[in-house]
Amino acid sequence: MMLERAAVVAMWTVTAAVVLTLLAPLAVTLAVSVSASSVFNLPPPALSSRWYERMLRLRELWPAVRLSVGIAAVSTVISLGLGTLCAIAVTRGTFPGKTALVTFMVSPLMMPGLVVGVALLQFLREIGLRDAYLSLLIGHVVITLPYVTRTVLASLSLFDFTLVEAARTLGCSHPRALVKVMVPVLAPAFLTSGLFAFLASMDNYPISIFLVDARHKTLPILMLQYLEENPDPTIAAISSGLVLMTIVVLLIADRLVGLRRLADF
Amino acid sequence: MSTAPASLSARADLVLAPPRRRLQPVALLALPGAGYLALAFAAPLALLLMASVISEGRPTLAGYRTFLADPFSWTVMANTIRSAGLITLICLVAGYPAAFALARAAGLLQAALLAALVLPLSVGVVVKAFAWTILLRSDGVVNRALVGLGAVDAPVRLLFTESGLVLGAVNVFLPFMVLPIFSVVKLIDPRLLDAAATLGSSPLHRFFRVTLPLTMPGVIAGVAFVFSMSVSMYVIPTLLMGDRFKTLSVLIARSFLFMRDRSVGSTASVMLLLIAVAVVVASALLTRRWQPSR
Amino acid sequence: MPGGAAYLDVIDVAKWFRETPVIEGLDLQVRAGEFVSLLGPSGCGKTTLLRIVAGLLAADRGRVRLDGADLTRVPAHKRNVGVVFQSYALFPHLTVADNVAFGLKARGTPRAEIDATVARVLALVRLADHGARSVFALSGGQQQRIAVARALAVRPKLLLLDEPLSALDRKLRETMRMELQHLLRDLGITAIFVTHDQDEALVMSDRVAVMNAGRIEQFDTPATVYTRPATPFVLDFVGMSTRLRGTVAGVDGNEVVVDTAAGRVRAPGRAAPGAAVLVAVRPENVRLGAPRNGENALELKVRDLVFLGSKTFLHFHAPDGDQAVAELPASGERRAPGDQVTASFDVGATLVYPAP
Repeated sequence: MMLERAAVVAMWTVTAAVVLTLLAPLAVTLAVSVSASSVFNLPPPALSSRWYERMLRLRELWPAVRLSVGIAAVSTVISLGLGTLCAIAVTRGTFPGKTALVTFMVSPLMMPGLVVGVALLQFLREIGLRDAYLSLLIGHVVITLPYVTRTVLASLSLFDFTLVEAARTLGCSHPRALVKVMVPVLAPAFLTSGLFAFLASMDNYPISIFLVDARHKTLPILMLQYLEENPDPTIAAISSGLVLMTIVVLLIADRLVGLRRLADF
Repeated sequence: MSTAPASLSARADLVLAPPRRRLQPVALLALPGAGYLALAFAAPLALLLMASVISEGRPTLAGYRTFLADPFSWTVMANTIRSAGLITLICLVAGYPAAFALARAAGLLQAALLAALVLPLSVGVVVKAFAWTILLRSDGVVNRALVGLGAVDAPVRLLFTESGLVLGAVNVFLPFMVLPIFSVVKLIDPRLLDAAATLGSSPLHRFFRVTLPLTMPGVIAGVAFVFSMSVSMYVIPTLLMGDRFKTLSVLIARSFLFMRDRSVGSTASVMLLLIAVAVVVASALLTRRWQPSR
Repeated sequence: MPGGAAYLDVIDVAKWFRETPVIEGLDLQVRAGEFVSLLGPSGCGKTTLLRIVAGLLAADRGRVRLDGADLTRVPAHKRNVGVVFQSYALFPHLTVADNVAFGLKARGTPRAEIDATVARVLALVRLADHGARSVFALSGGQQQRIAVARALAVRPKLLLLDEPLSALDRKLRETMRMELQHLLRDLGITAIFVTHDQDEALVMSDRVAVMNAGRIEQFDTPATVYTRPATPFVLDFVGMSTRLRGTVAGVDGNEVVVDTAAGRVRAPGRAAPGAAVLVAVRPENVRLGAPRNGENALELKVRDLVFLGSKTFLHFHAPDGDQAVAELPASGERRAPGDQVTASFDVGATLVYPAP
């Protein structure tokens, strides 16, 4: 009895430590972004919104934001399509090598980004593709596809397909039944994987660094550059903006499907 | 065929049943995704591998010989694997209990914990790593806490040390350990634990003989993700360690982005790739051994 | 029937779930070696009671004693009360043999003894060469037997079975019923069997406890529960019956005279004149034809015929909330819906209850 009690206490203590360490950089970022000082001192000597104002005036920032968001959105949507089709095939079909296929589909997550970036750059050059936007898109679909495949597959494998059959006996055509029955059930999986995929794409440095050119810079690359050239809390302001966006998305997701469903990764 | 109760039939592993004869059209749905990755992912990597063993039109292992003969290369690889191993271990030790806490928490607490896990992913690794440089300074929060708790007498040098790197990386990769384990813990049927208790199994025995084995697929996934991400990380060591600590990624980046000589980069890339592939294969094999299957 | 003082003694047990009482002041005494059924509809609290006896749930009030020891505060893993779950709860990560050996290993039994016991128990349930298989490779009936084997391997003092046969098809269920009964009898195991299937309860048990809304309404042998149900609930839940509302017209010695919509009947019992009552009689006691020797008689019109192979049930028209059923043997006269008949039955077989 004592041992069980102690184990539970230890569990919650560790969890508290985990939460603290996870939120610490967030807190630091937010604190620094509203600090009046351009030196990174905590706690901030005075509060100021100057870094946010600076951020809004930064010329190169907005094209980078637009590019990153655009690439993230388009690659996420493409991955949702490709990944879901794949998940359906694995769940409903019977063919040899399913495990190998799934391992393959998820493997880009575990491959070194720099290496994939270099390889892709050389490959695209070989086949003559030089357009940075398209290159970035191709690379980012590779990044986002594993998230979608893994999450949607996990959700689909627990899905009771007799529900679809029931819908068909009630008058829906096969595709319509699939859409009407599966989509609400898969919505949390789409949301989770969409969110993870989007964030992974927005945050990606190793692959992007090889595929960008002078006119097309994604946000992380711009931020690292900025950090090296003139480090000031403007990047903290940019990050805080991203965090705010994510909070909004999480709130919407909670309303729609409940945050609990979001954790099927 | 088995007529198992419904609860046993809704499991991921049952999806991967032995193949039947005819190829069904639904199987073809996998083609677009798999085909895409084959072209945009597997093919370039294969070409990279091939290119590394060809020099001036002839197959050669010269690049590898040079690389492996240099003690510096071994230092770099040791650094890479050691730090990745340490990061993975800490993530596992901290993440495993956290996954259980997440599963036990209800309602608002659980939602809050989930948000705490997912939100940091949105900060972006660049700023996160940078925030850790602030936290790890001599007058930063971490040191102040250590001194305050009496763990150390004077502020410890954390910036630009491997400890600082490990701390920063653990922070970034923790969600990727907690979430896979959590998704498996959620699925454990509480009646299995009831059954174990009625058979005379004490809480400790139950944990080691029922809970732990059933969470292994999640643990393997978490370890595989975190280890491979740690082995590959670039931004975090760059910002937290600068040039002092060379990992394979740093070496690769320098070679391709800043130096003229690409051969080191190519070889290092392949070595890193081999390590990553080894992790993928090992995790797939281990999962098969630990996943309850027919 | 095995005799002896109460082996399992459940004393005044109560359990609430958020302000709603699930079990209220329940007492139950089971003798050593007895096979008792807990029979009742879903939600009557039978599974809750089972979990309390197993130690998986703590009662809010009351005590549980087994073989003289007070188990109320003892955790489940120290009670030596075996459970066979409705879903079987077989460990998916262990083979069949390891499942069966689980409890023995948990007690630190020596290896050789474990192997011998597992072999013996698997032979008992006739699955001797299935030891190395995965539990997923078994059929529903086989899984059920392994669940029983696993629970029996550790020689529990008491075996609790929570609707273990409900997932099986009918033929298999009937076979398994007999097997289970013989197995437990041969081993002398005291068992409590939870079910909502009255046939099972009547066929298998030494005694049946009929539960309703957290209370035991009757606890007696199957024969008594069937022929002398203690309350209208038991009457309805176990077997079919004719059930008519009526008013007491008078009392005659040990009998009451009741007026119903279909006629006047007499039944053994006591009630005040003018009281609202329910009269009932089992269908097999009803004969079609004029009454003889002081039998009761009702005038009824046939509504449906239900053919069941060896017998046919005649359902009659009756006022709302009432029902009238008679059982016709295969050799009986043919009847058709709309026929007017006289249904006669023994006064001694007539039951009367206060109207609920």
